[in-house]
Amino acid sequence: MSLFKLKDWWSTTLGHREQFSGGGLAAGIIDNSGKPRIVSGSLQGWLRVHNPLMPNRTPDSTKSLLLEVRLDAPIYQLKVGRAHAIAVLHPSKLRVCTCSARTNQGSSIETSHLELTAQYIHDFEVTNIGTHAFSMCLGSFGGSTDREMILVQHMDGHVTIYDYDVEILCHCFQDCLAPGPIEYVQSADAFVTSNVAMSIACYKFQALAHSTNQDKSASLQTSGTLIEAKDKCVVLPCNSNKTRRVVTADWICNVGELILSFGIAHVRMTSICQIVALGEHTLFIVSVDGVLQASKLMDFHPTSLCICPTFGIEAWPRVLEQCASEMNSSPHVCCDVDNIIVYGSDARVYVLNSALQVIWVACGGVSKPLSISLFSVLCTTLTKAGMMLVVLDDTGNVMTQFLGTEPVSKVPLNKLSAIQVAPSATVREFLSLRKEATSPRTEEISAARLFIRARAARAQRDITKYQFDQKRCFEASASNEIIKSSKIGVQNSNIQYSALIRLYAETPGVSNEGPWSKKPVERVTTSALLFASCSGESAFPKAFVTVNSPSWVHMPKVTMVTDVGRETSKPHWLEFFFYAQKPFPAATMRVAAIAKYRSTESHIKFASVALRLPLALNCRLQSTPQSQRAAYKITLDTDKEAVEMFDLFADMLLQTDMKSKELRFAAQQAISFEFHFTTDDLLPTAIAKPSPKVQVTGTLIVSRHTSSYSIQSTALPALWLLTNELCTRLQCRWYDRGGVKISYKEPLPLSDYFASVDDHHATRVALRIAESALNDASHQFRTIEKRLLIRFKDGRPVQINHLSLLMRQTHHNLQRLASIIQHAQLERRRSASILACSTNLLVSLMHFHFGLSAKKIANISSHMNPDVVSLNLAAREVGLAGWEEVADMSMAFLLKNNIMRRASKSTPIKPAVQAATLAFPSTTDTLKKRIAIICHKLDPVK
Amino acid sequence: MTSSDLLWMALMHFRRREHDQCTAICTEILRTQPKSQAAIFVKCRALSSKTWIDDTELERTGDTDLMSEDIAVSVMPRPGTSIAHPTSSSMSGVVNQYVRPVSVCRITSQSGVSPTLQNVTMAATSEGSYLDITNLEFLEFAHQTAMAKAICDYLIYFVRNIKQALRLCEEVLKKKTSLEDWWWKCRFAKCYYRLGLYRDAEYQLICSLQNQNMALNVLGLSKVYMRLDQPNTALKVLQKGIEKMPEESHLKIGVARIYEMMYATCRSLLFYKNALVLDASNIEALACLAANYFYEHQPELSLRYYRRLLQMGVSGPEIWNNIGLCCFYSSQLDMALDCFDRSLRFADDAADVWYNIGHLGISMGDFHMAHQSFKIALSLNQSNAEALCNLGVLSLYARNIKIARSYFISAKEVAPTLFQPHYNGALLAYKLGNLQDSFAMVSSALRVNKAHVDSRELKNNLEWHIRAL
Repeated sequence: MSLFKLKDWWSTTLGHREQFSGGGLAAGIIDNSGKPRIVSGSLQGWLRVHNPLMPNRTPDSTKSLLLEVRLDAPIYQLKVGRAHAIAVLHPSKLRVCTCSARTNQGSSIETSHLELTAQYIHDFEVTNIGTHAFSMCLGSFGGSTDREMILVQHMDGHVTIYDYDVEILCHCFQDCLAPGPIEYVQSADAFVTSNVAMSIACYKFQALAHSTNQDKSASLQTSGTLIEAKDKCVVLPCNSNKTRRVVTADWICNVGELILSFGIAHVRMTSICQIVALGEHTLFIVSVDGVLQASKLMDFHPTSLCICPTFGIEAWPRVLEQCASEMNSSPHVCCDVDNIIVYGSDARVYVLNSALQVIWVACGGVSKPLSISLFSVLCTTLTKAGMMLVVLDDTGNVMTQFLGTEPVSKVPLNKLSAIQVAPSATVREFLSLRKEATSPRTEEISAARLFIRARAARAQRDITKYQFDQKRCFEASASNEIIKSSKIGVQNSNIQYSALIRLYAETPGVSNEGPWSKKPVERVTTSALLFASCSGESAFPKAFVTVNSPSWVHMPKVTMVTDVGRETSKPHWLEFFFYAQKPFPAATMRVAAIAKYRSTESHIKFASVALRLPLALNCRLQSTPQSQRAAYKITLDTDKEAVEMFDLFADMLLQTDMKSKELRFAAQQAISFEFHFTTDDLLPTAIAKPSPKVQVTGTLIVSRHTSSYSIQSTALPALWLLTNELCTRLQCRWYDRGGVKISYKEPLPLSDYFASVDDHHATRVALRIAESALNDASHQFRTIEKRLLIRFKDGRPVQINHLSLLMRQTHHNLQRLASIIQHAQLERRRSASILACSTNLLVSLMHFHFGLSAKKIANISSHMNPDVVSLNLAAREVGLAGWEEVADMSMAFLLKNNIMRRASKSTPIKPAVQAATLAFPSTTDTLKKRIAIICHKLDPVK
Repeated sequence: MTSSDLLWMALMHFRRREHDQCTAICTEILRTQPKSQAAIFVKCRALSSKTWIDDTELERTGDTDLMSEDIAVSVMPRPGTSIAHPTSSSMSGVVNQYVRPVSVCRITSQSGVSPTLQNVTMAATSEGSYLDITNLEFLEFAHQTAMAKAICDYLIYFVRNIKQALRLCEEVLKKKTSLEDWWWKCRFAKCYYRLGLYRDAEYQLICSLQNQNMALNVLGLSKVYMRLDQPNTALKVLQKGIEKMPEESHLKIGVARIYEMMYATCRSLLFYKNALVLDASNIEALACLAANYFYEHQPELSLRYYRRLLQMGVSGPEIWNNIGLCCFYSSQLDMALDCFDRSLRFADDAADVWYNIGHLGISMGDFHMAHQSFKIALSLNQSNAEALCNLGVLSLYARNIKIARSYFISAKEVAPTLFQPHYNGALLAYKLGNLQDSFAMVSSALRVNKAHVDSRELKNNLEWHIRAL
């Protein structure tokens, strides 16, 4: 048994001991449901329609059988036309019928059965025994794009062409003892057939059309195009009462073998199709003008030929689109290169590529002995990514098969996200179709995967009473505009999350829980709901969901454990609470949630979601905009028209008790926010004034004429927050219409930035001094302890000499110094968060000022290291690789490699391996100089 | 059913390669309508396709057979075990028998040996031919190209009356219209070839190639040149064909075969590999490469090719036997025994496999098993000279000198072309002091294989002894 074989996707047995002809199988869309069906017809006259895409793919054939009807004559051949009609060829008549889908009352989705309606029937004049039909072919003969005609070939070699219910042509091919296969070549508008003289003959349709009688050609002229060609016809009296004309062939290619089957394919990367002819022992490739281009001897007896478009994974979306557009237009979906699939009599399948190389060999997948000859192979483009082969064998088994050792369902899964970018209606339909077909299989194979999703409703006052059910949540998210602004689409391989925050308690409650201060602190809280749901059958008993929040947010519970997947219909939800720690300005609003779980194969897997905290966690709206007392001010220009502040910050307006009308009026031009931290919070404690605290405020003013936004604030960190929020909201707003380009014309606020750098440095120096003092003091304390201990153990101890007093004082000193360090650490944290904000602001202003690309700015941002707080996490300041050291080093690296390289275009300098550790700089001069140089170098004006 | 329906059914059966049913239906039509041209045509086609054989391959029979197995045997490597020393080459003989699994896998040789002139007449009389060949009016058919072609194939493939076919070809080619038809020239050449008129066949094939470049003709021409013993010309023809038809793997296989016959192993391998690029599932190329690696002492590589063959579904005693040998030589003795087991399960004639198992026993040192295996091999095939020879050596080791001598003698009787029994007998006689017999036997060993060094040494020794006497 071979390892390489075709895999069965679906199969059924037709009837009981019925016989089938070579053309008794067709596949395509035949009804109004738009789903692919397999049509089969037996010589006993049974016409059956199957649906291979049953959702649960039951082996029970009764469910997939949609139509079974007995026609009054044997079925020789079946074809599915473009107009979703079935052409049925009987020995003495041609029947064209359509199907309409009927559904049960109970289920509205699934088609339960089909109804067959005969459209028209052509009876052949069977006066002579030779006039029975042999085969037929469909095509848009004569270049008409809107209709398909049917050509019927009879046993005595004469052909009749029908256009709907009108017979338009009747001709006789020359030298015909027995009819051969016939195929229509669209690109040449001709028929190729194999004649008994072992050669391929080609008949132009125009030559056929021209040689008709005048009255018949007149009818054709209305529909098709006619070219005046020289008369090639010889009138012969035929044994029928009509006169038939014998047409001479356009060209004849002598291949020396009887042809079994024809195919039209794109071989060898040319734009013109070639004719692929399967001989008894050889495969021939003939160009449309009759030149034998290539041949390949076969080691076996071939029986059937099938042309299949290549479906490499790279070309997959393109193929899908083409399928969608061409599915109804031509029977052969033409891609760049086609593969040729040849079935052999010994149940062998060869797949040849465009260079006639054998790229795949399989045993037919038929486990029964070799008595089976596969003969009817059709390529359906409709099922899935890979083409399925529908195979009917002579015992009446219909199989849908695919190539490959892996199930097909794995292929479309990977490509799902790529297609979702711009789904047109047809493609969406395709996707749903494919999902329907692949979903059961997916669950079988890649059994389980966990999804987590974060979602929240709009601001709610009485959160306790709010019952969270999924449906309402959907409604809320559909109606609320904030969704757009806070939606972060994280495309994580094939899962798309949308993250929303549910915000409540915008009126701060009083709480004593604040860990940083003794006095009562107003608390601002938000919560986010994380939804965890899983696909697949197995449950994940222990999924750890961890939320990684920025440092200014306090979370009482960071990790939760949940069981997912017990009830698959309902997602599990977890609620996380975020508390804003008041004195610290926020450097980032981004929160990441990660779920860790073990798959069924006990591999550790992750699912993640990112969400953005709301602005309201940081500030509240002021009823009247203020424009005075603004120490810091920047202006951003945009290339789109100005947006009213009310529109942009609609969610913030909901927080206040003001009526929306007044608010709307007030917030048209300008909007002010009051931050939860005060100006004193931002200053070092040494120079803090005893005067009443003033909350930091920020104001946004929009200028309609210049479509620019001016942002002013009393503190630098607040400026960053507002800038960030404004830019994010603007980008979201213009996302659908091509994005917005923001520019910043003024010089960069380097001096203010350097001030925050110096501040941070100073706090670190202070901490260092305090730490060294504590070190000295504790050393002294230990020495005293030791001496006392020696005296205690000594047999005859000397006098204590006030050592006890000294020890008590040192202990007091130690405690004092420790509290000083605690204070200094708090100071450092304060300055670090300010520095983080300023760094972020500087980076984004650099982005807007120099118009850098997103990639470039991400590079610079990673070197600038805005996440200052996380660098200060060590227990001791000494020995810490703080922000200054790291930033200094990375600035030097940036200057050496990235920025200088662009100018010199030399080979990249490898980072020198420096053994030296990062030393704490005594001054920040070099760092400041380097940042200034970078800003200078980035300037395109220079 | 009307006759039209019957004809349709006949065509359908023909399309499905159900030739017997097709012929039966045609006969039925002809009973009612004896003049039905279509029925005659379809019946001709059905009969000739049923008995069709792929005659592009070179037949192995005949006096100019270049692929005789015994020549191949003489270049076989010797396994280097001391005990098996005298019997070594018999080992490789077994492998060689299975080198080309062509006979198993290719359809072509299903119909066996290609017909030679002698059995043509027999075939013609044995099957009931429905056309009276002697009364055929060729002139009548010559005007109907289609019918003529069908009848020509019928004559060549089914009736095998080459002379009549030749007459038909001559008649047709008299017409001006068919002068340009390569097919007739190809058939002409086929007839000439069958009749042994190689030069005429060559001329016709060259003419045919000028009309239309077909791979069939190229292969036919190369075959004619091989028959004329001009392998280089055949190679040239094939190379030219490859230039024009680079996608045809059969031409490359043809080149590889000729190189193989000329003992240009490297080039032969190269072309087999080229053919595999075009058709990665070509069984012949895979088998040849595998056999070649085996003889080049790379049994592991050879094993890979055989495994590929197994994956492709080629199964049979030969392949399992070969895999077993590969495993044996790559010292995977347990695997080897398993493979031989499987081979035994499939095999009809298991003597060779048992012989190989015996060999395995010798190299494992399990003389008892070896003895048993050789005995079984002998019981299955009385004339297995290698087994006899090895049994002789084994009984020599068991100090049964008389039995050993009788084994050697019977081995000599069974296969006089094998030199090992001669040498072994000579050695035994020399050890026993029977110089006269020893000299006679070593002389006959040297007559069979002149290059055998040990025999020559023994003969020198004997000559020295005799001279001293």
